[in-house]
Amino acid sequence: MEDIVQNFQEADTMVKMEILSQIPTTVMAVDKELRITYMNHAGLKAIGKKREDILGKKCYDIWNSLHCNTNECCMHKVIDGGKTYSARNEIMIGDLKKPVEYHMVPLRNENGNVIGGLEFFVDITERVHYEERLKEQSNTIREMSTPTIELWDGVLVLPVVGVVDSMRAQHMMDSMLNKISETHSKVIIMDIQGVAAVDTAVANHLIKITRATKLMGCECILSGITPAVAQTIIQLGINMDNIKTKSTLSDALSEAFTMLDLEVKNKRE
Amino acid sequence: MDNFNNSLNTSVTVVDKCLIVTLPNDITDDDIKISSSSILARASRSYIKGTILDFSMVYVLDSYSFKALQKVSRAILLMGVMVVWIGLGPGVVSSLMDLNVDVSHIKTAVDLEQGLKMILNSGNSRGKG
Repeated sequence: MEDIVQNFQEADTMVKMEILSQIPTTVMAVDKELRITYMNHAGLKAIGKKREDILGKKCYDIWNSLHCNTNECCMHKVIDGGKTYSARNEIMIGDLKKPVEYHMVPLRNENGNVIGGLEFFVDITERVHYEERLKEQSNTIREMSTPTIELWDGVLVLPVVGVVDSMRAQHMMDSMLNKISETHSKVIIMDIQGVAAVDTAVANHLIKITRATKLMGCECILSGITPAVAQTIIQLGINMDNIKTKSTLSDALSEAFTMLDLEVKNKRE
Repeated sequence: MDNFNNSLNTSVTVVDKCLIVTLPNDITDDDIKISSSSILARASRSYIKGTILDFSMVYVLDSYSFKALQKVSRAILLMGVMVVWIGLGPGVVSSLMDLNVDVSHIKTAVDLEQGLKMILNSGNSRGKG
């Protein structure tokens, strides 16, 4: 009977070891001195070494990650604190850098004392790649959404389409201010024809932008104010007296020409 | 001796009867304190038509310096001399907007040329030009 139990337990241990070995992510165990005591197949495959070559070696010699030998090292935190940690890291395999996410769990003996740590690596190369692409694309969208165009010598136009939130208002302001200092323009026209609704927040952003351009010595004309928008502004009680406003872009442009002492003439007359 | 060195930081020149004050890029409270009295003294001369504060070298401006310069501008205005701020950079303007300071009464121009034009074209001279 005892034999059967013994066999059964051995078989059970074998199955567990096999499961651990076949997990497709790296699993590694280290003792308190950061010597490697176990690594599964996936880990060995990732670094291209045999089990005999790495057992007993220091883990920082094998992985050579950004956190190795620094205060960031989660293994130190785990062994000292006995808590679980997760972090993002970059490991070096040969000359190849690999972004990984690693999770650390303390290993305890029967008395509950920490004797080492267990480490799981997840390769996040794909994810980092996607994140970078997403960042790039949102940058592109942001630049597309705030085009400041030089319409005439000394006249800039910024057409605004869509929703104006504080983030976008900030980008609009940055784009306008940079363009003004680049071109030394005297007038900037902000066309809000494409802005569906103007509420107090949007109006405040617009007022702030006009004040900023004024401070740079560039007069701001707000154009494209539709009857509906005009009505809302009045009903909300927003004071826009200090801002030059026009209903259409062409009105604003002719106003800009007046300010620059320019005149548009019909040649035949 | 110290005072002399500090006041050297800001250049004050007269061009076309306009007083042009070029502020240094690392503007300090002491700079403003020391230079403000000399600016005011020179602006009070009868032939000066206007004063230009040139910020084109200034990359950082805190609210204290801003207020100090605002006071100087107000004082010059009180003497009936026009004040124009020029060359405020995008970074300075952005930070001033974040500090939420009142800028409504300040006359500004993009560059020195426009600033001079503004002063020379204004009828607000003191008659003795």
